[in-house]
Amino acid sequence: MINSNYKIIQLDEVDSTNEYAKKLVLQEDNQYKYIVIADHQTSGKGRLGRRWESRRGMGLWMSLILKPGEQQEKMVWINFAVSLTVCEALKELTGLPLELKWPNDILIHGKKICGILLETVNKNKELFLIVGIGLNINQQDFPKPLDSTATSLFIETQTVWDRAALLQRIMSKFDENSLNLNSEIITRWKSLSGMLGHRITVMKGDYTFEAMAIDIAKDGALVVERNGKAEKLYAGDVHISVN
Amino acid sequence: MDLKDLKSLIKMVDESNVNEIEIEQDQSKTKGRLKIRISKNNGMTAMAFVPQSQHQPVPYTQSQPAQIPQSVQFESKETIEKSHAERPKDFVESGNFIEIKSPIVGTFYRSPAPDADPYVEIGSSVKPGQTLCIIEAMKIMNEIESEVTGKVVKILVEIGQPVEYNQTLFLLDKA
Repeated sequence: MINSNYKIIQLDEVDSTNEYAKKLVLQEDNQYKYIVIADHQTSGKGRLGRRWESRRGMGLWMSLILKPGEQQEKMVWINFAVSLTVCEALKELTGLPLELKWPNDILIHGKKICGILLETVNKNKELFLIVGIGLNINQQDFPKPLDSTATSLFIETQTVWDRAALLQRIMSKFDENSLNLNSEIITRWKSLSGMLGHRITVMKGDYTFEAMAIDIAKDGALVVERNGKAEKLYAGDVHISVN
Repeated sequence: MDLKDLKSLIKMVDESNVNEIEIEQDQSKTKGRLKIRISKNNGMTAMAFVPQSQHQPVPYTQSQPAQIPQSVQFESKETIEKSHAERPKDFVESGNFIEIKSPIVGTFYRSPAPDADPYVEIGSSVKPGQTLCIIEAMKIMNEIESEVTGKVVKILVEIGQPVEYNQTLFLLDKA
């Protein structure tokens, strides 16, 4: 029993829970407040179609289907609320020094433990939001070259974690945070982010530059300082420089 | 320049798509300078949009200076004010063309994944509700759908290129 508000679709194997959720929205009527969860994703994906390693039973591969309404800022708050929720839940359970990286990654010691990808789907003039969450839980290792950038709860704690218990904790916290969806979410998010005040490398398409991460704006943009000027970023790959 | 020249100049401007012409000429005989400005837009408050290049996004506001080729039909002021109060449209009509504009700041993608087919190509017929592209902002992949029927005649942004709010993405032919 996760939460009375969400219906759960549990799958043994699927290409990607986000793709399944998208089809569900398009094929059926009024499919929202669903959790699609799979034991194994054959084509788990991240941003730009990048592959997300989703081995059987080793992680939480899931997608939430939400109906955010037309307000663009609400969608941004949901984005920050999801990564904040997962980070808070994992911190409470494990005590690990987790950090948030803009816009919605969760890192431990600079390695990624959770990735989040949001996709909108338009259907009959209604906007649906698919929130894909990939949380690495019980992997004992990662293939090269992923091992230098990815980690799991097991690798960090040498403990096998119960996936259902983690899901339960994440969802009840998400419900709590969803009740207070406002710009306060971004303030709380900032307090768990390790990147503000650090030098970062920004990649926008083919263009790369160095800057100092200074703030997260109310609209969710990453504010960076570059050549003495503040600049807002809405997209692009951001890497925290190791100096 | 004499009166005859001036008359033919006015006629030329009147019959053309040019709104305003300014001529400055050194008059050697009078040792003075002649400056003529012919404008057919004086006092006009109506606005319309013409297809813009991708580097010149046109905000959907009334304060935009009028650049009105004769071939473009004017939108009445009333219509503009009405649509302003509602959610800004993601498209703007001008003549036979419709500009599809970006509702947000982000990165432009033409397909759901790098190895997938583009949502639309030049020549594709689109209908309302059809996805045209994705604009990514803060790892939210926003599907941008068409609100109109038309045929894609121009794609103004390259894959992976950053786009600004209200930047024109596609040009559709209404016909």
